[in-house]
Amino acid sequence: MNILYFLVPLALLLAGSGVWAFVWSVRNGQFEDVETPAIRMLFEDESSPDDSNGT
Amino acid sequence: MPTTDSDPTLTLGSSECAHCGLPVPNYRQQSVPSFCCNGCESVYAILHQNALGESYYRLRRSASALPTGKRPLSSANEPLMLELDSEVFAEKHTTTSSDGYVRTQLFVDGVHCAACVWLIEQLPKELNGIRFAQLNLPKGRLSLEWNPDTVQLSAIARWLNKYGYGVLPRIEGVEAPETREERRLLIRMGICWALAGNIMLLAFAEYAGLDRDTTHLFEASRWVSLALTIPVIVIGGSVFFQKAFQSLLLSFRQRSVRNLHMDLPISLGILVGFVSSAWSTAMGPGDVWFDSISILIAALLTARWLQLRARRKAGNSTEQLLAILPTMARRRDVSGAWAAIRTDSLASNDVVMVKPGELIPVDGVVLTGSSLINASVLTGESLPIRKVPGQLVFAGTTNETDEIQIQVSSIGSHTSVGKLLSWVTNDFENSHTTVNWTTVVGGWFTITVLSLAFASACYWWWVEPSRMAPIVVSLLVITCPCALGMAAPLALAVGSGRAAKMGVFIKKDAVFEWLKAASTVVLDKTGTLTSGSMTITEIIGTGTDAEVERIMRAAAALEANSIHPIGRAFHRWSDGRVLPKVRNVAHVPSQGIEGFISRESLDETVDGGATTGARKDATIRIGSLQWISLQSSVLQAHAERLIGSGHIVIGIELEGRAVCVVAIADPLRPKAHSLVQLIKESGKQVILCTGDSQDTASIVGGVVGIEPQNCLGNQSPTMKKELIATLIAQGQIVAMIGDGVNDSGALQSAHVGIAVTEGTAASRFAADAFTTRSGLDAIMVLLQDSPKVIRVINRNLVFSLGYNMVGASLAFMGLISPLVAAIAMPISSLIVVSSSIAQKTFVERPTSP
Repeated sequence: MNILYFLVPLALLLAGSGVWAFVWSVRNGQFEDVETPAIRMLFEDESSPDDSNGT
Repeated sequence: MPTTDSDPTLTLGSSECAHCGLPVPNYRQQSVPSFCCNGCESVYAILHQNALGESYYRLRRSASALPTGKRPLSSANEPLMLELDSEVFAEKHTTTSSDGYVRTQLFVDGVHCAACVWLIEQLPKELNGIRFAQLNLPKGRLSLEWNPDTVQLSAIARWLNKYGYGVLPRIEGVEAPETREERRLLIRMGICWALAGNIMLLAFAEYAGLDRDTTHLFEASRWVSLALTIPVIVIGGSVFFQKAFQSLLLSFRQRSVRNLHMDLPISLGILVGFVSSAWSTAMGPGDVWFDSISILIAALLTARWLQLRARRKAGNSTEQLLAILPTMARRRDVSGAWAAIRTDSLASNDVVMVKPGELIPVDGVVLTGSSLINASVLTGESLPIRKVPGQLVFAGTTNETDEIQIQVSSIGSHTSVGKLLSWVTNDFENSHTTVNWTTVVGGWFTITVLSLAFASACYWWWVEPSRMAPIVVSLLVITCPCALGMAAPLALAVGSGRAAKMGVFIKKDAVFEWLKAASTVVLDKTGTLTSGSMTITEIIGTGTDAEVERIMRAAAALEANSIHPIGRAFHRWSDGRVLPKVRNVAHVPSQGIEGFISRESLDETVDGGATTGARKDATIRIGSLQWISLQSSVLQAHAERLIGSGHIVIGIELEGRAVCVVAIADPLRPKAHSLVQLIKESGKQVILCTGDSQDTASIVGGVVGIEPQNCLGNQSPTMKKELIATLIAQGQIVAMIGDGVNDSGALQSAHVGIAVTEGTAASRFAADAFTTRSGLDAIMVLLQDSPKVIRVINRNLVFSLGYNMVGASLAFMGLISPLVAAIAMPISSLIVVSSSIAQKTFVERPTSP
């Protein structure tokens, strides 16, 4: 069970990096407009050059 | 004319957009095919030009449908164009990147759907020098990056105008605080959920029976939980602590329990739970509640964020409003030349020039020139009025026909429109808010919980002192009103979110409650009950239909260049028709218009043989009935009937003989009558209030079914505001439905003000709710569904109070353990969440296909 002393902090570290990513994306304005990107997806090749927000 | 509507008497076109299928605003339904917005219309045309539309529209296209062509904005707002390219603008609103590209944001008016996004984001392809164009659809905000050496911002604005999108510069710093608040709350929420999830995992170990004695894991998990809970309390809990503290101070100062906010019991539960858990962690025995309180904080923050977001969707127009007055004007300088200058640097007695089609930037006196001025934004009067030198004109009104020069008397917030807007801003703070449910409940709830805690402390101290502390703690934690705190915000957020999807934007949560309680509804006429634009409603001629059609075409050709409202009514009528050529067109002031039309275009028209041989042109005259005498008794009778029913009647004369009478009116919106009936059926009084004449008010009131004594004409904006104040003083709860800046004061004074806005942002600022689509349909839905939202809130409240009562009783008996709380609290919240989401409000009605 002593492995938990390693695993729990590791899990917390991972969670922390997730939180950091979240905070970064909010500050970056990625949650500002959650409607238009869904529409923009429909334009196929017509969309304007995107600054690589998506994957 | 083909129609897809089930009721052809109501609309000529379709109620569904031929391009995107969204509902079409009433004022656009006249054309076939109908479109919800200019974007759709343009895209439709472009797709067809490029032969792409065939398959796209195969299923929807009606047999005779032809694109009616683009409807660009009639003329660009020139002072705005000047401003966009000015250095002041560049300095204030733009940022320049290292490679010379300039970045800014513009408001784009009239964006509705995917097609608008697509079209606007074609900018980089359509115009050279634009690198980036991205539209934020819900906010109508366009982010642009362009090279000022290649393209000017005004050219971009003109391109947008060409497709019918109005452009306003974004004023920095107005929206920013709202956005920042929302972002901060979102970050708090995310952090709290992440921490709460981990705390819960650790708590599972304890609930699953982590052995206290054999290992140090038990203690370690508690310490980690404590460490994780501290940031939750600091980051998330502080939101509640602040409000709770404020409400405590307020109620202490006013000696009133009613000011105690729901956040007080919430804060109390959080703090007691945390302190006692921390104590247990440090001192050994006792329960910990870390998981319950952290989940509670995260859930409550979520509810608040959703509420804020739903409200913000409706609130964006505030910043747009600040941009309705022109910011640039043309001033005559000492040398007599005209120079562009910012409106706020004008002084009294400066002279400015306003070209036709522009907004007047200041209040002032006309010096030279005479022009028709449309003051509908200010007075609600739909007909433009001729202003001659010496007369006053007002900022925000539109100069329609001729160039005029104005001597400035007041600018900015001192103008009439500025004063209207300052009513709104000043009253914003002390506007009517409901005796908020949760606030009232919150006050009594706090008192009850505290007395219960005290009672159980006394009881257990007497019966079994060792159990007193844990029982009081568990009571305070379990009664922490998580579900109660979410009951109202969530139901409201879901309700207003759904409403927004239907084109009803609700800025204040109190709207639902006031609408349910309203005893009087005051309706504006122009632009609210009526469409707000002059339209030909009836044509009566002496000849056959084909003859009348030809005469009307000739008349429309004569009026083609007139921007008098009567001319506009002819424009609207002639849309899509081929017009004959006319020459020697002459305006006869305040009488009408005359000209010559070639005989060929009328040959088969009038009395085939009567004027044989004559190849010279025929004279045609259109004008008032004082000018054109109706010899025919049939026409005379029709004219009298039409005048009697509130129409403007004009005659058409061909070769000295009256052949047609045309009735022009500002037509009622299709659902005007049903709206009035709906309001009456719900037991509310209806009052019609308009800037037009008393006669017009009575006639319109009669048609929609409002009692004559409740139809008030000649109402100025101030009178409307006073009327509302009088009604409120009589103890009525007043809802005002209106449009335009002229209603702003009234909208703001009323308990709930609803603005019917199709495009203009002016009155949205003052209103508590506004609709952007299908005018009265949306209002009807709002009126019908507001009571339902309130019912959902009541359902939630009853459930949450019941839950808390059961919880408190169990805690009193000493039956609540951290495990029970960890299960019961989320479940109660979940039930409230599901109940809110499952509400059947603001769903599309199947009745309107």
